[in-house]
Amino acid sequence: MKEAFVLATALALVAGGPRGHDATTPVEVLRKAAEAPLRTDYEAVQVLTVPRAEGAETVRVVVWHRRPHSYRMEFLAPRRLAGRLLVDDGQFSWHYEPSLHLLIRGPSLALGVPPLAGAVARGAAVRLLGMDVVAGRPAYLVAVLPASGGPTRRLWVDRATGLVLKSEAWDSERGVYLTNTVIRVGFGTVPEELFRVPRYRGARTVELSGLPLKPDRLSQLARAAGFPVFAPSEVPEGFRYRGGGVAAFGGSRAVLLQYADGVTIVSLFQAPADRAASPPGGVAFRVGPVLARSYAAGLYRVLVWERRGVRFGAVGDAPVAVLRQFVVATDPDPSVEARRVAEVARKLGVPADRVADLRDQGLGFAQARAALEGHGWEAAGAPNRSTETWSLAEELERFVRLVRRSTVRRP
Amino acid sequence: MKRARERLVSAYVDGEVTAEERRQVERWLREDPELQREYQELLQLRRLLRSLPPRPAPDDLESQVLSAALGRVEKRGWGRRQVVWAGVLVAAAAIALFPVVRDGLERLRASEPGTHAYTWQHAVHSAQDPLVDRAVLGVILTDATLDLLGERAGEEGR
Repeated sequence: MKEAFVLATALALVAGGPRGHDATTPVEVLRKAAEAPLRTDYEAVQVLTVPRAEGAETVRVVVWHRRPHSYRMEFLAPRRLAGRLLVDDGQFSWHYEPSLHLLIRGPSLALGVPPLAGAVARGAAVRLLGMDVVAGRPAYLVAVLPASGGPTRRLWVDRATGLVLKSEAWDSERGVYLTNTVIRVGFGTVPEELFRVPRYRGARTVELSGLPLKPDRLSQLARAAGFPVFAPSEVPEGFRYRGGGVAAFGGSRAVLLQYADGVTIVSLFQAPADRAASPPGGVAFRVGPVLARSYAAGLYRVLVWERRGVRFGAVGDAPVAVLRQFVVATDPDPSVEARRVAEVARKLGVPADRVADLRDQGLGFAQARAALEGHGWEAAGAPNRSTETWSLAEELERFVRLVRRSTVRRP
Repeated sequence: MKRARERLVSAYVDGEVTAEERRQVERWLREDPELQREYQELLQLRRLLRSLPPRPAPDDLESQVLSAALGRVEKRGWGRRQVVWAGVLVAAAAIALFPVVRDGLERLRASEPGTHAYTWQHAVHSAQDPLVDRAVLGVILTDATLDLLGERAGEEGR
C-alpha cells in the first residue's frame, strides 16, 4: 500500500507537473480550500471510506452547505445508517437517528472557529502535485506532509471555488485509511429552510453540551477544574498548544488540552486517576516507566495511561508513534518541572518566572527556549514551516524518507 | 445458558465484547424479544446511573464505621491483644493482596469513561480546525454520540 501511495504521488508529479496551470502557490490553494465554506453555497453527494473496528466502511451521504456555517447531511447508505440526519444551524447541531426515533441536540460544529489566516498547515510541507478532474471539475492536487510524522493528506481542491472535492489521509501505520470523494456537486443558493430541524412526533430528545476551547493558560484551567494541569515537556515537531477547556467526562470532569500542527489535531485529557479509570480492553504497552493502553476507535486512536496519580489520554487520528510522544513528555511531578524550568532559565540567563510563564501558556521546553532566545516560539514549534518547493527530486526524496521512517516506527 | 447470555449482553452494554461476541449478541437481540427487553432495561439503568449526581461521603463516615466495628468487637468480649493481632493480620493480608486488588478498587472508585468519551470530545473540538473534513466529522461525530449515549443505530424499529 505504501509503495502504491508513493508511486501514485510520483506519477501525479510526473504526469501533472505543477507548471502546466496558473501560477497559484500550494499554500494559496490550501488557504482557498480552508476559506471555501465561507464563500460558497453548495449541494453535493459524497462517498466516504472510514475505518471501523471491523474494517473499512463505505458511507454515502448528501450534504448541503450555506455560508458561513450552516450544514445538513443526510445518510444514504449503508442501510444501517440510511436516514440518519445531521443539521447544524451555526448555533446547535441536531442529529436524528431514525432507527431509534431519537433526536440529539449538541454543540454546533461552528462554535469557536478560529481565524483562518496563518492556521493552515503550520509545520507542514505543502506541495502542489498537479491538476486532476473530480466530479467533472478541474482541481488542484495538493499534498500536505506534516513534519511530525502525522498523517499525510492529499486534497483535490476545486480550481474555481476552492471546495475540497476529494481527500485522502495516509499514515505509515495504516496506509490510506480515509477517503472522501464528491461524486456530484452543484453550486448556488441553498434555501435556509433546509437547516431547520423537522419536528419528529414522539421522538426522544437528548441534549449534550460542549463548550468551545479557549487559548486559556494552564493555571486558569486548573482553577476551573479544581485539580493541577500539566503541560507536556515537549510536543511533537510542528505541534503547538491551541486551547483547552474543562469537559464532562463520564461521571466526572477532565481537562482537555488541544495541540495541532495545522493538519492534525491531538487532544490531551487529564484527570485525577481516582476519578477516571482506564477504559476496559485495549492493548497494553510500556513507554519507559509508564504502562499505557492503546485503543483503536475507528478513525481515531486513543492512548490512556496513568502517571503519579494523573490519568492521561491522548486522542487523534495521528499514528501511535506520534501519540506516544505525549506519553513520554508527561511527567506530572512538580519537582521535575521546577528543576527543568530552573535549568532553562540558568542556561539562557533569564528569570525562572519567564520560563514558567511560557510553560503556563502550554509551550514545550524547546518552544519556550526558542521564544526566550528571540526566535519566536512558533519557529520552534514549526521548524519546517509550510514550504512551496516544486522540485520533483525533493518530492520523491521526501516520500522515500517517509516510507523508510514508517518501517522503523511501526509500534 | 440463559445466564451466560445475560452476562454477555451486560458486557455488550459496557462495550466489553469482541467483534465476534458483538455479532453474536446482536443476533440474539434480533431473535429473542425477552432478551431485547432485558437489554433495553440495562440501557435504561445505565442512563439512569449516569444521570445521578455524585454525592460526597459524610466527613464522619470513617469514624462511624470504626466505632461501630470496635463496639461489636468489644461486645464479643475480645481482649485488647487479640484486637491488635487481628489488626496486624488484616494489614499483612492487605499489603500482600494490594497489587491484585488495586485495579479492581480503582475501577470501583472511579468513573469509567469508555473510549467514546474521549472520541466524542475530540471530534466536537476538532471541528474548529479549518481543514477538517465536515462530512467525515459528521460520520464520526454521530457514531460517537450514539456510543456516548449507549445506543446503537439500526437496532430498533427495523
